Amino acid sequence: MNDFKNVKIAITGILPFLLAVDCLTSAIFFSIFSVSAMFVTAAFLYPLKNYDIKLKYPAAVFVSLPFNLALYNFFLSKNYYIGWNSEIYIFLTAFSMAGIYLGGYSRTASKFSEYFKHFSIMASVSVSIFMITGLSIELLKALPALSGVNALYYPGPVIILAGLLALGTSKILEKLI
Amino acid sequence: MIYFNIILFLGFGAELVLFSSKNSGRDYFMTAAVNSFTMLTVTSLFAFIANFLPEFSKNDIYIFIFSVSAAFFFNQSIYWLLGHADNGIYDSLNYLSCLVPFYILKLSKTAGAAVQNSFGAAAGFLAVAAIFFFIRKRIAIEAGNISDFNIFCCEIITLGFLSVSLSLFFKVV
Repeated sequence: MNDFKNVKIAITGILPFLLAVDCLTSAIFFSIFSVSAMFVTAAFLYPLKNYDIKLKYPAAVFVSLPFNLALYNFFLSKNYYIGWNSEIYIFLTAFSMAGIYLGGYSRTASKFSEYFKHFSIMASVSVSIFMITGLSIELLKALPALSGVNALYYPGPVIILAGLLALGTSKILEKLI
Repeated sequence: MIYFNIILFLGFGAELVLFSSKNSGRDYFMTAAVNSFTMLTVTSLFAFIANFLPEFSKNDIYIFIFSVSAAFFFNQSIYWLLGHADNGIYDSLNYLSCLVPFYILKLSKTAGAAVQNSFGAAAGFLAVAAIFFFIRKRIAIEAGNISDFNIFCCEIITLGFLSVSLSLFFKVV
């Protein structure tokens, strides 16, 4: 637990999708899609933990795709703004690196509670980083001096923010767990 | 600019994780090269198919499913041919080889542009992977007994600065 491999995978997994976040609403939707994909992938892979077939991992990606597409169509039908290039990103979010990691971890997890703890940590880290990025974008938008130019629309500052948040998260988790 | 950065870093994310299990440079660079080659092959294959079967290229679900499957099988086959022993799941199933072809195909206007973009992405990815191989070693030496997670955070922050500098460079040039 002390090496925070689960947090590392969670952050690496959401890094590409942070680049597509352009407001708080899109941050909320991307966190929903990421957690949904993580949940479906992990739930699909857990019963298959005793089968050592690599094909189960791409199969898990294909299983999580319809769930994400259904969520996307549901939110789209409600006329919500889902974010920049969401019609492409919705496919990409179906590939959950955290879910695949949990699937691999299930082979060594002694108890289901341990597995669920890892899932909860990864999901909460992903959601909090999405939310903080979304809130930061909204705050920068609100500054009149920066009207029209938002540093967090560019990939570089978003990646730096993710790195700083990862450091902060590890400090919080060290105290909590 | 965002497109360029995303192409570069979608694949890099997986490699950040991969690195921790790879102690030798040979394994690291082989993984990076195999994934880049697979990405290039899958994109070219689908661009070729899309040229002759435009109906196929209009269906996002088909492209996604076939690109992920093709990338996984290509990677597995190449590792098997090379006799690569250390092939974890992220070696065969990662953002670079599985998702970047889909991303490039959807954002490129023509099949030729898709192939060109995939060449650029593969070259960019290999360059960044090589840079980070040495940066990580340097961070580990400089930092002394710092934990692996903190090195990872430093790497992400360095990656961000690299992205900023590349964006500025391409904006100016």
